[in-house]
Amino acid sequence: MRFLKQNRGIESTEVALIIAVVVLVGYGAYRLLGSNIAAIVTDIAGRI
Amino acid sequence: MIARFVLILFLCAGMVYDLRKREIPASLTLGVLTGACAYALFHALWIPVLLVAALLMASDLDLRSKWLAFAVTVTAAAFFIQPEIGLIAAFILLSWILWECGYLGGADVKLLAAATLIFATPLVLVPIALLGGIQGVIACLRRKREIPFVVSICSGSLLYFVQPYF
Repeated sequence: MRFLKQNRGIESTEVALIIAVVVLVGYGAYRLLGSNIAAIVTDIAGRI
Repeated sequence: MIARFVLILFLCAGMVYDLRKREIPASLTLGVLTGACAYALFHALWIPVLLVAALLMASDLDLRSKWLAFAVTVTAAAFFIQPEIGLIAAFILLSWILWECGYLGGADVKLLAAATLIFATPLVLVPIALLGGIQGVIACLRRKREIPFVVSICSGSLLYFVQPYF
């Protein structure tokens, strides 16, 4: 399997920076809005 | 607790290989991923494990879009079962897509998936991404184009592991 054979452990610096920014912004949004989002998801799940 | 400690030890070994050779032995990454999948199955995280299996097969097929659709469906279904499991599945899927696009190394993705499955939360990504960003800034200042990302995976997982004790 191609995925299993690929053992490269390297990443470009730009991607590392982009991932860091996206994850930190996402985490910040989750901390700010997490409880509201959870309530909405639970409500939708309940309706289904 | 023991599984997390063993994971950290394997990640340290991977970090040493990454720093020396820029490549991690398949036996190490596959061993960690298989162990993490077995651990996750014992903790009822069968949806992310199913997703990992689907993605392993998807990497070999021409009809990737169909498998990708399947993976997205599994992730979506996971969201309705339990949001936390859905986030784990979505994170594994996202890192696999980054590998398919050539932005992440195969070893990185396998070790990231293993860390997510063993810690059973995508929150482990926060310290990993933060340290990866710091590593990226340092590499930019030293005018290097590529970084050994397993260093961030190992130190981020270690940080997440010891953080409750402080």
